[in-house]
Amino acid sequence: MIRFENVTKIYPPNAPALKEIDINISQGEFVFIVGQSGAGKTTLAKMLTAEERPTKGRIIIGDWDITKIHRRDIPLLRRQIGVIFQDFKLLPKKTVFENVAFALEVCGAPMSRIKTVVPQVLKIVGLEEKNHRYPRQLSGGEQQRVAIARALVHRPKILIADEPTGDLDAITAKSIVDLLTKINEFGTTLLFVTHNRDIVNMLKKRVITVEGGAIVADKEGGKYIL
Amino acid sequence: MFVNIIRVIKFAFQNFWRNFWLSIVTISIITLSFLSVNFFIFTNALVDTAMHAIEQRVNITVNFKTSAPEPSILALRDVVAKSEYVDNVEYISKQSAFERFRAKKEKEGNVIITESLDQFEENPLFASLLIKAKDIHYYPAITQLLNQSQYENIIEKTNLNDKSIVISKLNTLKERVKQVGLVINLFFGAIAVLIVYNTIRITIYTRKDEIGIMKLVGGSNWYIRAPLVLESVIYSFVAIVLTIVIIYPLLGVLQPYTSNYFDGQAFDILAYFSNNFFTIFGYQLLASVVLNMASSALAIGRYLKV
Repeated sequence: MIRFENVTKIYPPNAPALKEIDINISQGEFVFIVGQSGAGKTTLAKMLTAEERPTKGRIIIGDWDITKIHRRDIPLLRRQIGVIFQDFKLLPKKTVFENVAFALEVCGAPMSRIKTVVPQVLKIVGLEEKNHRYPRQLSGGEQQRVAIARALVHRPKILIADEPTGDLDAITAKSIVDLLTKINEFGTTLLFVTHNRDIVNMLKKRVITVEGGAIVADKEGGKYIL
Repeated sequence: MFVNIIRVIKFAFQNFWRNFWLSIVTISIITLSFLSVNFFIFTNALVDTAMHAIEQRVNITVNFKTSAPEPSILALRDVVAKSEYVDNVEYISKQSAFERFRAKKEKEGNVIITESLDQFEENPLFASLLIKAKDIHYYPAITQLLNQSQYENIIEKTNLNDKSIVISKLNTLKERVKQVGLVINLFFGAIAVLIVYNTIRITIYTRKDEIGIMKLVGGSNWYIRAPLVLESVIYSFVAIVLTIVIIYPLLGVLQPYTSNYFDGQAFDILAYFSNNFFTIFGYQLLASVVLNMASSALAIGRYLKV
């Protein structure tokens, strides 16, 4: 599903962020990418959405080599990969429904599709009753659920969660992890970038540990070892 | 496709309203540019009218000897009238000249002259031809025709009422107006382009979160860029409407002055702008739209990494 082949990323003038990374992730897998701040895990995630390009090596998603993806094809790639962040990245002047619908609007989806899909994904994340509220009227966990709903509207095959529980308390974080696990069980490949030891140790999934831009451990049913 | 266009228009108007004061400043500068262009058009039209009025006053007066028989004069009139250079030719007989002169002096209340005229036993005035050329440049050719030897015995004097110096001065003035107008227009045009560039840059900055999300969820480049370009087009449209709203009352104020601009050559500035409405304002709008689109495209290229 996702293949990193000998990927190196060096930021100019000479700051290596990733060093000869080799990763294979199968379809439907749940993978933690862990490491301390500055280890290179976010760079790894950004390469999947073509926000960053490798200096060396190849990245393949399905049959698509995205290493030298053309600029006009980037939106097509991003519609197949959902992304959520620690800071949610919601638009404060839009309601829950509008925030989620926005992702479809900007891709040119017809109104009929928006009216069908948005309530469906809001139901999945448990916010169908709060679709008229604004982000400021929601708790942190609920805001992250909106972000997840938005990431799901394109029915992506891959979901990247970049520190999705970083700003949440333990109980809320657990509910978000449960939701992401549920989404993964429906067949979506999940890349969970985190340095939350408890969550990693609790789920006992595959854990890729990054340190100083290199993979130091890649273990099925692994633990947070740093 | 239709729904996409509607959304792009919606986003463009959202940008316009969200940065309301910035939009107002941008529109004001573009309006100033339009006003400067229209002032230039106004001045140019005025100078053109002046030149036309003076050209109308240029003519050739041919005075005939008192001994010249009327049939010969009329024969010459017919020859002149048939010339391709001549617009019209008027024959003023000795008697007619006398009556006109007397009427003029009576109107002026010049009793001494009118009484003196009565003292003449014979009409002292010449019969004459008043010739108007189709174009000011044709007068030398007409003069050449009149200077032929066969007319020497009937023509007393040929007088070209020449206004070439005034016309030449007006031509110079027109050129100056053009040069100064061009510099002023370029100046305001450049400022407008810079302001639009800066406005789009600020719009990109103020909407960076929204644009970031658009990119994140796979919004097409067209969808992200088009509202910004359209926003710059909206500025042009609003500015041209504002210019029209400002300029027509101004023209109304100036109208009485321009209508008496030259005797016999009334210049209706309001009618001039109204008759050429689509040419004048259409081209200005077109030029502004092209410049603004180029300017916003530059800003997008530089500050919006899609």
